[in-house]
Amino acid sequence: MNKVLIVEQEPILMAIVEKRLLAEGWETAACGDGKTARELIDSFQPDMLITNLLIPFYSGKEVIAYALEKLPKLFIIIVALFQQEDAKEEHLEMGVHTYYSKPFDLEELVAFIQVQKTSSSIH
Amino acid sequence: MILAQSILGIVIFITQLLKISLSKELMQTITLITICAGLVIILVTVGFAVFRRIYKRIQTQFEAHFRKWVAEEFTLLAKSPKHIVTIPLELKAALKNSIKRNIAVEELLVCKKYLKGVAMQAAVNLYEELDLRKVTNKKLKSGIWSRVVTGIQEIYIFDQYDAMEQLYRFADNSNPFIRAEAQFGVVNLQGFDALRFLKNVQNQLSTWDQINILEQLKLFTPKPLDEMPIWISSTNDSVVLLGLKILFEYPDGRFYTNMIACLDHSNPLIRYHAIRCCEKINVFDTNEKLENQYSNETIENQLLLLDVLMLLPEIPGAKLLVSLLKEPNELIRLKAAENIAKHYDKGLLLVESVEDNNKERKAQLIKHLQTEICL
Repeated sequence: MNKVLIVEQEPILMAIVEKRLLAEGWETAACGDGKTARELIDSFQPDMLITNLLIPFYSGKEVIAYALEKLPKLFIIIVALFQQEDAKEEHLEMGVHTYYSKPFDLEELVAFIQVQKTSSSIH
Repeated sequence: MILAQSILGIVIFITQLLKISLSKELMQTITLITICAGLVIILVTVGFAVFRRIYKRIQTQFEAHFRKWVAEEFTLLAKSPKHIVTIPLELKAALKNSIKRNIAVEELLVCKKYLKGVAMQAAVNLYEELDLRKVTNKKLKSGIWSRVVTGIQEIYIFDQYDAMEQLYRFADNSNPFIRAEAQFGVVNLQGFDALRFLKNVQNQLSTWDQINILEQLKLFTPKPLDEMPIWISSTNDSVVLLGLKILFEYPDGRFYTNMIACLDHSNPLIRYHAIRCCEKINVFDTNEKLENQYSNETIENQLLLLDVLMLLPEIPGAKLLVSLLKEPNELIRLKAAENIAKHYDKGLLLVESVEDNNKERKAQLIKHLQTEICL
């Protein structure tokens, strides 16, 4: 597990998460909308997807569905503003591995991602 | 290049127009004025478009540069907590421009809103170290209310506790948007302690403002509401209402007498909320007080009062309830019957014994009581 795709509408958050993961040795790609995200899923072939739900062109949910269709083993993390608890469960059922509600702890997210990286390399 | 070509095109077009006018000897003063005015309008429009383009370019370039710098700083801070932020001279120079300062504030606001932990604190630190508080202070002094509101938001989002007194002054501003934001801001920063602004508020708090304050309070650990007697005896009805709503959420028996005094208030909405509070704060004779209150109340308040009587531990007097079984209002009859059935052992028999010409309606009522209350 080495490649991560970050889909986040807020450019500064996207830049922060991307820079942080670059520093941890990840190969990164980032975009702010669903259309580019779909293109990057095809061209970049990420091992992990970190996505917001409210993004332009295609929603986060649509991007996840597309990603799972193309890359069934993709590890998916949602980082979004959840209004309803039901939404979280719905996404977990879809194949999302975990979610972080905004405001989120960047270091907690990075630590979790690093654990996934280590465990995937062991397996 | 395109812009230069457009201007050249306009000049050629006007020259041609003048030539036509002169050749046909139709050149009159009025034509000339019209052409000049047209030219001025075109130049102003072009100038505005050029300004917007330049502004947008500066904005985009700076945004990208600033985001990159913030991301690098956050990463360095995460990697080494003792890292000392160094502001590049280039950035310092750029921040002398007000457009760029505002962009920096907006970018850091996003970080503060959506991040937690170390990164969130780093956003606050950068706001302070870049001396962006100056931008906020300027907004607070603005004569445009929307700018003041933005300034207030920046104060509480960036946890600027030293500006609390400024916010308290805004909490009773004559502009409803400014005072609503300031009230929200002080509560956001200080929770229950911030409610001290209520004793000085002369202007009205809208229902929405009250909801926002109550929602904010839920994020804090409750504290004793020592100023409650002042709030619920205020001459400002909206303060009394908010006080009673707070008392309902955080019941405190010390204020029972003050709360009961609100039942005599001339505003029916205040009486409504005082009746509602009786559900949470009551003593042995609260039901008696509510029964005596019944005849002075509006229909809405009477319905609530009957609901509260249902919830009180003391048994309400049968006299009032039985008399209500003959009320024309169907809901009142229903609630009175429910009270009787709930509180009295032979309540159902009592309800059945009261005459009602409409047999079908009575049968329905009894069926309802048997299924909903007596079970």
